[in-house]
Amino acid sequence: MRLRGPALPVEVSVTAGLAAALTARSTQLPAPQSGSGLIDTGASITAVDMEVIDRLGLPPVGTATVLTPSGSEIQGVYVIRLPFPGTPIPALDPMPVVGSQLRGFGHIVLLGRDLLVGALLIYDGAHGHWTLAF
Amino acid sequence: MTLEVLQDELAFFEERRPELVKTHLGKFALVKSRALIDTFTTFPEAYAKGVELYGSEPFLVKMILPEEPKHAVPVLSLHLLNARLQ
Repeated sequence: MRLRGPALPVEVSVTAGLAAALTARSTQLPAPQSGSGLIDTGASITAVDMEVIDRLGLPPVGTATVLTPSGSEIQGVYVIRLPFPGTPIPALDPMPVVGSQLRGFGHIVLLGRDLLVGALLIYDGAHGHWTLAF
Repeated sequence: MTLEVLQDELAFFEERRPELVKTHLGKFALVKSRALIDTFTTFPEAYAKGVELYGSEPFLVKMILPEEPKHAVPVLSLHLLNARLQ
């Protein structure tokens, strides 16, 4: 767990609202994107890999200012549906996230404190397990 | 889809921000092109209206605050994801 971190399976898809709108226009829905989500208590906002966002064809609905070592940068905000397959955690929909470059790191989502705000997270490093409860 | 698709909406919002802060502080603005469509109490409400009206076309949902909040994702900005001591 020390190297992998507190990670869980996630699936990123278009929101139920957007899916209904696309279906009403007989537009094919993009396939959900599956992968790993890493819980990151250092992140104030949840981030999703831009490659995933692009595959879903999601338009930005806003911008977020994200701090960097040299100042700040503007990143796009997108809205997704975020289920956690194989867990009892309810899907988050609609969930605003920032688009970031995560591919190559083994995770497609960084789960930030905006998600954890209603949760209890226990990280038991001594015994090599963690618990997330809502 | 790049952020350029929201160029008009973002410019409009910044122009109107001082006025909106006085009248709708803390609400969520739904903006399309250079028009304020409405304001909402929650993000999901504003987003749902945007999808209802515009489907997959770009539209802007922005919380009305005096200035942009600054977010932190240190693991990315400091390139620490999966970092290990050699």
